[in-house]
Amino acid sequence: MKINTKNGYALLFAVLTATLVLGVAVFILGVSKKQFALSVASRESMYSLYAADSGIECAVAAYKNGYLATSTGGVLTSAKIQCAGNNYTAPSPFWSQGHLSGWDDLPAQPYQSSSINMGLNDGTCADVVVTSGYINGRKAVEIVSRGYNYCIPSGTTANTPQASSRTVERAFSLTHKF
Amino acid sequence: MKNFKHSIYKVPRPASTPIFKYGFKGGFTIVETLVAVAILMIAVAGPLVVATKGLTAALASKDQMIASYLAQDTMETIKNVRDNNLAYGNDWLAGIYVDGSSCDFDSRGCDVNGIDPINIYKCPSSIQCVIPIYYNSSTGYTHSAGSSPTIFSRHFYFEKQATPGGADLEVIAHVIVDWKEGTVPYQVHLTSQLVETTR
Repeated sequence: MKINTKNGYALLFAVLTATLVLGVAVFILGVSKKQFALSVASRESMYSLYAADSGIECAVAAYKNGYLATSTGGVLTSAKIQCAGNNYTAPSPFWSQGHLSGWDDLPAQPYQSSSINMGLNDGTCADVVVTSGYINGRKAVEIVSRGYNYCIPSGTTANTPQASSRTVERAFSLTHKF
Repeated sequence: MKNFKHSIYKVPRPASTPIFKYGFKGGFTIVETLVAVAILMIAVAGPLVVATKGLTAALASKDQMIASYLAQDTMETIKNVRDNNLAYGNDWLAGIYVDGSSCDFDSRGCDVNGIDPINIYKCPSSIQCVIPIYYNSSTGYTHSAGSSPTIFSRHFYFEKQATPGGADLEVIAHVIVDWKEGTVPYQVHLTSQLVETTR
């Protein structure tokens, strides 16, 4: 069978051009979609940042008003935060004891920390961890607030972050050394 | 025979013979070209739509970034006013919150930013409203009506919180930036707890 190799050039040219143009368009769409996803992630990140800021705002107020009290030995004696119109108390036992990098690792003076999950506005939440102990021989209290944009609204895991790729965590840390 | 030497027809034909009898193979190029043109038309029109959608999405993402920063601008200004009030011993929300009369949940919205002198722009009516944002190439986004208008408008209001025990005074600050992409409305709604305390 004799094959004519001279015909079919226009069709080949059309298909090649179409592939090229389609490739460029898909590339542009891909870049734009990534830009959009980035801007959405930036917005969600901002929501998490202000959730963390709200958490530390309430925690500092609670600390200054004696609701996150510590004894002279650095022992947490109370862990309660008022925030967003609610009272949030750390679950019993309200503190856990252990040894943490950066804190004095003394048997008699281990650090103690307490975690409180708070529901905030528009589905956001904050997890505030209060740590009390000694750093280089000085009594210290550290408040770390982690903010999340998507949170579980109710149930046993209420006010904790949703396990989703859209969930963003931002945090603030504040340390008071005596 | 000599006349057909450079012709597209491979088979010479007598002058009285119809062209289709001998030239069918060569005529396929026209059909092929028409198909190619049709494919090209479809192939170019489709990607053009895709590329247009992509560029629209890119513009939308740019506007979303601007809106986020505009919301953050007002929120940080509110916090700055609060901190200054506490530092100078004033009422902690003096100048930006008067319960029941302006800038609160039940009354008018307001706007403020960090570029203009700290000045509260109140909504003109008794309902929640939007305050247009202008752009000045030297000072940025502002309320100055002499600058170029933008697609953005912004307002904030406070929502008072019932504080258990009443130990602290607490409000939620809402900052809302609205804009439209064509006819589609978009909004960034930023909230933050504000407590009467310094850090």
